[in-house]
Formats: sequence, C-alpha cells, structure tokens
Amino acid sequence: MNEELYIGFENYLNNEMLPEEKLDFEQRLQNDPEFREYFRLYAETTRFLDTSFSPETAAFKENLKAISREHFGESLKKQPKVISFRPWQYAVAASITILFGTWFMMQSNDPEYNDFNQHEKAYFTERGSEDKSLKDAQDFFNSKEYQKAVVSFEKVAVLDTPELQYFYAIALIETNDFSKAAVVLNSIRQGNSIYKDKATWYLALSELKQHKTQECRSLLKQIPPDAEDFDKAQELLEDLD
Amino acid sequence: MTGKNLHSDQIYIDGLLQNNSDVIQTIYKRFVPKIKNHIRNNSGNDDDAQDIVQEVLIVIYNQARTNGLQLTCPFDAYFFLLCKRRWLNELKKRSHKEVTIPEHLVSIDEPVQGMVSRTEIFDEKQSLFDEMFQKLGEKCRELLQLSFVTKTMEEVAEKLNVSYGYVRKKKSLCTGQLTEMIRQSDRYKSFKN
Repeated sequence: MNEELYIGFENYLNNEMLPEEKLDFEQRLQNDPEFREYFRLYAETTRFLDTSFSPETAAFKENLKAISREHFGESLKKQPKVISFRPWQYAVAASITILFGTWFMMQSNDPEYNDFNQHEKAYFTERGSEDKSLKDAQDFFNSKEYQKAVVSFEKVAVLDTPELQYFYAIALIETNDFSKAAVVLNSIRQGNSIYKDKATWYLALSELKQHKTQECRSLLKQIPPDAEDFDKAQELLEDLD
Repeated sequence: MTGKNLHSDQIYIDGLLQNNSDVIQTIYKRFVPKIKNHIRNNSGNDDDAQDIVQEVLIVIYNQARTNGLQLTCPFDAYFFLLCKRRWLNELKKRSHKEVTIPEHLVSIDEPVQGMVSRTEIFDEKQSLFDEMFQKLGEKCRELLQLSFVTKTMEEVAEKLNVSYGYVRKKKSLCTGQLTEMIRQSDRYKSFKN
C-alpha cells in the first residue's frame, strides 16, 4: 500500500497543493496510465463515500419514505372493509381478547426496547440559538415525531455539542438508523461530557432494539455505578439473564 | 455521454437530486400507478410495489449524485423499465427459478435500454462499494463515516479527540485501503470491461 500516493490524491482532491506540486501531479495524470487509473478509482470511491454518508442523502431517503407512505397509504385506505357486527361475534371477539392478553403476559418476560424508550425532553434552544432547524428538531423530538426530528437535526449547521448529538442519536435509534446512531454515540463516549455514560446506555438500547443481546449486555456492564442510568442498566442486565 | 441531447425530463433527475418534494410527489402521481399495476398483475402486491419504487428512486439519486446522470430518453420509460427489471429479479430470487414476464411492450428503444443498463451497472458497483466498506476495520469505517457526516475535518478531529493532521492522513489511508480491496475483487474486474 502506497501511503504517499493516497495522501497526494487526498491533497489534490481537496485543492491543498502548492502550484508547482499541482502541476507535477497533473502532468503525471496525463502521462502515467497506471497512476491515472489509481487516481480515478480513489476519486470515485470518495464520491461513493460522500453519497453514502452525507446528511443530504439521509434527508432525501427520509423524505422519499414519507412521500411513499403517503402515496401508498392513501391507495390502501380507498377500500375500507365494512363488517357488520353480530352478537355472537362479540363472544368471539372477547375470547380473542383474552387469548391475546394471555399471550401478551407470557411475552412480557423478555425485555424490549419499548420498555425503556421514555426519553427525556430536549430543551436546548433557549440558549440564544437563532437556528430554526434546531428549534424544529427540539419540537419534533419532544412530540415524538422522530423522522422529522432527524431531518431537522441534519439541517443544523453544526451539531457541535454532546447534548445535541445525544438527542440526534436517540432520534436515529427511533428511526432504526442504527449504524449512524452508533457513530454519533461512540464519538460522545470518547469525550468527557456528562453525556458520556448516557451515550453508552443508549448504545446498549440500540443493540437491544436490534435484538443483539450479547452486545447489549457487554455495553451495560461498562456503565459505572455513579452513572445516572446505572440502576436501569442493572435491572435490564438481570432481565436479560 | 456529453454529445447526446439531454431530454427535457432531466427535471425529474435534478428534482430528486435536490430532494424537491414537489418533484418527488409528481413522480409518484404520474408514473407510479403504472408500476403498481404491473407488479399487481405479475404476482406482487402494493407492498412490493412500494419497495421496488423506493429502491429504484434511491439508485437513481445515488447515481446522479455520485457520477452525474444525464437523461437522454423519457423518464417514464426509463423508470418503468428499471422497476420492471428489478421486480423480475426479485421474483427470480423468491422462486429460485427462471421467471418470464410476457413482453407486451414489443420493442424497447435503444436509448432507454442504454440508460437503464448504465444505471444497473452503477447499482452493481454501489453494492460492491458497500460490501467492501463493511470489510474495512472498525476504526477506518468510523473515521470515514464521520468525515462525510461532519462538515469539516477539524470537527472530526475534535470529535475523535486526535489531531487534525492525524485524521487527514488516516482518511487518505483508509480510502486508499478501500480502493485496494475494490481493485482486487473479482467483481470489480468484471466492471472494467
């Protein structure tokens, strides 16, 4: 692997070369087919990465999903089924309810993400922020409209505090965007803010939601006794065993 | 590609790229009903149609954003053929055998065919990139992901608690490693021809 080569490519793509360096580079691009081929693939890979991870792509996908649901939802609602209810059907309905209830009670032994998703409310815009997207993100988050919250978070110029990243990550978990949530939460965990241990807790919940019990357990064990979520973590650990 | 005439339906491609809700809604109203019908008539339901349409629109968006997409044929024909072929593939996957859907459309224009096959090749490439990305080490994946989610490399450095110089260097090496893995894969060799 040629380190110098790749560092050169990166500098060229970011326009961070001195004029004479750039001239040399471009001359080599013209004259050296192998170099050209390596560069072409490097540039294409960079564009693929950009498309895959840019917040704009995520916003597009969310928007597309919402419009698609709207469109297909409508067409399904066009044929409502009307069923007349007869007395004997009440009896059937009642016994189904009882069956369902029993089934539900039998299920409740296994802990689920939904048992723990009572998120704290977000209040981060009083601090003199003028950013409308940030205000939207906060409001959507508090009214549990997580898709919209994600879109708004991604419009915010910089999510530069652990607090903002923390709420963004919760919204991502709610919308099942686990890999992105993990990136954000891990970066909080590497810092030293008060959100450090909370991030571990949510990362564990994210694993729980994906039914990755093993991963969930090992994260829960990393939450120290002085953390706010320590008790909940212990409780969940017990339930998982 | 530059020599050919751009079709006026390029507005749909541009609208997708700009995440323009009006354009996306128009696509659903104008072009999707036909696809729904086609899928319903060929062993599918509305859920299938919803998935196929969404997947195809994402591929078109990705291609437009990554490599540029210049439409040289009507959007309707291009979009319909992409969905139809994707649905055919899905049916093959489900039944593990050859499936043929009767061809009512007689012949397909050569420009449409060309546009569709370029998009399908792009889609193949995208899945190769995705597959190879998953094979990178965790540190590389995290750093690359973060450096495209975050606006500047200074912020990435701050988030990872390392120096700017280090993330810059690491980003080039991780991208380089990814290109290396792609280059050495058999699938990549087949695209090059």
